[in-house]
Amino acid sequence: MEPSGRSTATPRLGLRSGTRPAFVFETDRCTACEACRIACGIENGGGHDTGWRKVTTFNPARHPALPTKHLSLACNHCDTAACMLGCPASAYHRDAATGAVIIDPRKCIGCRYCSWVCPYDAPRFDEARGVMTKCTFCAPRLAAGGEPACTQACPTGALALGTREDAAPDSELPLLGLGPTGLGPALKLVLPGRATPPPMLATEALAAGDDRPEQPVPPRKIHLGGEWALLVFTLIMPALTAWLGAGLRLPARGPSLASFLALGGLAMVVTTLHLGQPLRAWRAILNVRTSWLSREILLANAFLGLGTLHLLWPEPRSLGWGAFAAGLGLCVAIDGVYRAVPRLEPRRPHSAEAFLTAVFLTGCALSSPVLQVAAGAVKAALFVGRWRAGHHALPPALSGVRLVLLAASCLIVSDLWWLALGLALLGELLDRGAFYAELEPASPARRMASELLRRLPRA
Amino acid sequence: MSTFVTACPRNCYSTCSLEVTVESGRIARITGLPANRATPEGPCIKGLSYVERAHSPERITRPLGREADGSLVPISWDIALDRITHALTRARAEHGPQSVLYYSASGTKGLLNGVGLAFWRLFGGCTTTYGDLCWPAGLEATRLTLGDNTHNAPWDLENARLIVMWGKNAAETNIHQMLHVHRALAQGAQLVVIDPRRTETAERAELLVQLRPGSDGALALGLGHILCRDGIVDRDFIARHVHGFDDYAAMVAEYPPARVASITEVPVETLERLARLIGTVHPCTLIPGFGMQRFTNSGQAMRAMLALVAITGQIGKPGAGWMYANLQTAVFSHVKDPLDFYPPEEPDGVVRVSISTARLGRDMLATLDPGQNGPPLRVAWVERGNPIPQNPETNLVREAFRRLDFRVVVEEFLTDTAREADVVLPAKNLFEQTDVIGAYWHPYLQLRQKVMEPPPEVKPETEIYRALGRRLGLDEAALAAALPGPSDEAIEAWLSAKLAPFGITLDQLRRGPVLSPAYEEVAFSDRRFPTPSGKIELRSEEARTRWGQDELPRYREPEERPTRGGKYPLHLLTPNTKNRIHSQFGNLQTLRRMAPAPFVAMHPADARARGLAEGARARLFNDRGALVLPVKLDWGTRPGCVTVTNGWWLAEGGAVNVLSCGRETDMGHGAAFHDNAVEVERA
Repeated sequence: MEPSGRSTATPRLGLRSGTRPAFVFETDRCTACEACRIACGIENGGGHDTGWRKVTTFNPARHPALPTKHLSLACNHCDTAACMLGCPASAYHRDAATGAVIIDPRKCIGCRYCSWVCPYDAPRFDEARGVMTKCTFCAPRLAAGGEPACTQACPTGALALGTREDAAPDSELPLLGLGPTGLGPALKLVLPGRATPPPMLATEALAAGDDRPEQPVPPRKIHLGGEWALLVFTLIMPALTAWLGAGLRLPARGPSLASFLALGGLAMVVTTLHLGQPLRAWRAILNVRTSWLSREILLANAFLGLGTLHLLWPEPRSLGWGAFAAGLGLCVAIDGVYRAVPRLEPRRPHSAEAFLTAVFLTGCALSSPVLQVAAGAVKAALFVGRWRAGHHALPPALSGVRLVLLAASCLIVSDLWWLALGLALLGELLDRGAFYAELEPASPARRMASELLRRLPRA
Repeated sequence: MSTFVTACPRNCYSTCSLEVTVESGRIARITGLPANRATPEGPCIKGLSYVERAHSPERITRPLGREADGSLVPISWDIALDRITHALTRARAEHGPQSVLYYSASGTKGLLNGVGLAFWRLFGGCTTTYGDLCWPAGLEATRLTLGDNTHNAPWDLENARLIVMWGKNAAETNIHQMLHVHRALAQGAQLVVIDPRRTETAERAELLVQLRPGSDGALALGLGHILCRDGIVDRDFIARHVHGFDDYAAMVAEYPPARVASITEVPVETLERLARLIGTVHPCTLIPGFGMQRFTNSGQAMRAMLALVAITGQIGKPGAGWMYANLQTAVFSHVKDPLDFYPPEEPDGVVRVSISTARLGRDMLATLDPGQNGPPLRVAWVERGNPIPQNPETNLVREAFRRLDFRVVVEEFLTDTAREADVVLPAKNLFEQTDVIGAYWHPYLQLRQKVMEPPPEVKPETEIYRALGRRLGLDEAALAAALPGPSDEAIEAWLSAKLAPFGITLDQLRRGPVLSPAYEEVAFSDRRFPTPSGKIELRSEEARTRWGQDELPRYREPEERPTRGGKYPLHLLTPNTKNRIHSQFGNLQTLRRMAPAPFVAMHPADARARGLAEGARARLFNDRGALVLPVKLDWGTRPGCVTVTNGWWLAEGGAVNVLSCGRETDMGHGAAFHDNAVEVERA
């Protein structure tokens, strides 16, 4: 248990020299007044809400079995900043003076990937400008010896400026949606100084009854309506890889240059247009060192480039094998992109992962019983396992259709390869759609909602 | 860029010291001021939102006049003053000056507020109101019991071992008090909250007692019963400093726990536990709020609560006391609250003090009755207030205003009351004229400093009255004597003269808050109680002679109460929220983001019984009016109660006082808003 930390007024200023800043948040002092949020808007949003700092409440409907607690959270300027590592465009940097993780909106391509990989839900998409923005730690104020607008505004002393040296390596409080991230957030949670049961309800009439409150959750960041371009891309690329690969063994089954360029071009165009800043799409390959997304884009270009050259000059075949390898690498990169997204549930291999799909489709296109049936069986097993575990977005009827399509495409091992491939693709479309519907990054607000459901007494 | 020290003048406990940054003629930033020990951290969200409020496009910056088609359009000052002069002259000629109602409320604190009445006396007189919407029952109960309304410094709360927050949700209405509560808790203090709602404050409580609204007096007597029964009282303190204890002890003998449990609907074991805490965990500070003293029985209830402080000897010591109202900064007038709320015993023939604020609509309409003594009201002048949604019985108040010939409203924004005006005059804001303000929680005098010029056509009231006085042909010398001059220097000279007797200068106040000359860190530490007996009076003769109440704080049910199975079975609670001060601030985008629309909060059991789900449209109604609002399920609301927060405008569809009744509290001429029974049905 932490002591309350400060028994006198919070120092207005003042990081000791040589120390690095951190937010200190004392849960029991926060009353959800939202002064921090408003002060942030005044300082950084010209009076408008920046959306950078949010106050989220656990048990806002005050169910008697549970306490009500608040979390004020912006960016934790992590030592290992998932946003910065994931950003394909190298739009992030760390401010040398303060350690603040800063995004330069002029470099941002608007892919929103940082908002997927941040477990604290810190980066915000600015619809009007098509770029991400986020908390700057008020770095100029810090550098000038001051403190961030949010901590300065807090009337109860719940949110304050402290030092990273004092912060715990990882701040955990499941009730408030904070789990271990391993990222080294600059956040010190001052936990309740005593057990905090809900206040004792001193009237018998206040029994909760059967009604159960709902915890409001923020709108989904990932949904098919918004991400259909990614569905197109992540379905076309494994399919095109498989088709090109099949043509290397059985040239009659390979794609024509026109169809290869048409499909590959379509995938690239829709994903580019999906960006907030399509004209800066070229920046997407600037962070191959740490970003799976950057690797994905680089490999996609390599695959399409080599594939085009191979279809123009089929000999030597090494160009074609190079293209096929790039395509498989691309599929690995696609899976890497999604693997980095923090999840509420422990991550399980998904039946719609791109590499597995590429192998399966290659089998279908080659009528290779080993690849086709083995990969199909793995897919079926993963699919059914997920269905039974309940982490499954497809309605039962569509799930049935998906399994029938999978079975049919596995069983057609003959000259009707195009039928097998077509049916397989239809099945993959359903499964990849489910993949996106199931993929919502875990944010503190979502963790809080799931924690509430877990802790509520069963009706 | 320049920074100024100033203070927030709203009708709020905290009355924060602020540091304001002005950049290129705009308010750019507002922060707290650690020099104020009561509010050392940041201001609240309303204080922060002055950045928007000062420059809001919705602000009224020119006079508005009513056109023939009913619309309000910008007019010149000449036309505005001509219209007002015409209406005032005519009313005075036909019915005398007392046909003009001068209605001022608590929208802004300041010594200069007093110039209004000085002007109306020069006009020949007027009619004004008596009583107060806010807190008189509690003030009067405290005055009758302790002799004065004063309490320990806000930061002294950190010395308490037990804090009893009775009907106060400081987390929303006095957020800066939570700093001191948290510090006390960190040192091992315990917090008890008595409130029908599980409020944000209650989250920190050891014990939450969700009593039946309006039964506070019975709860206090029941606790007194247990304390006397078990002998956990301070006999030495009682013998020296308490008057009427034996009568009190005999009276509380009639309130055994079983009886009190049936009145308050608080279980016996909770009563026993609460009494034991109050009797044994010392020092104990009892912090009553304002809400629970707005019933028709609440003066007596507050006296019964005060008795708990008295018999346990918890007053005049660090960490102990009755933290209701601290009038240590009320040094500028000889008559302090609550006495200055009361109508004069001898009318002076100039100012008719005949309208009860609590019954504003009814009493205004009553002047129109042919049989009435005195002139009918024909003109109203409203400043610093928005009485239509904020006074009880909104529909009657609005009708009363509509029955007048002419209405003038001085306002910053187009409130419900301003919308009814014939002329709206643009009001200065807190940054545009210097004034001196006190507080009622902390002991600081502060300067509400002018930091910028008002927009070109905005005039402070001092200037409005001067211009109007000239139009009306009032004596120039008399006007000059009554009103400070127009220049900043003249205003400052006027304020300096007010401060001079206390040896305080404006320059001192410009640097920060200054402790009042009447400051005492621990109130009543000398055990001198300015009552007739010189002791804490549990038996008060004045309760009977002035108010016709029992000399002992016996329990009586509120006049209006919900009845199970009756026509109106639900109690309507109308508390304040962090997002507003009464009807101010809710129109700003900053606050709207957090509270976009009104709703009715109710316990799921009550909602289910009426077929209402989360978000369903519900109609709240009684014989006085109705509201249609979406339902929000709230497990923290006591079953049998529904909550709509106070301050929404009629224009927003949430003005709670369409449902309240114009009644006075049992003492103090307060408004008994909270005797309010309703039913809810699907809309």
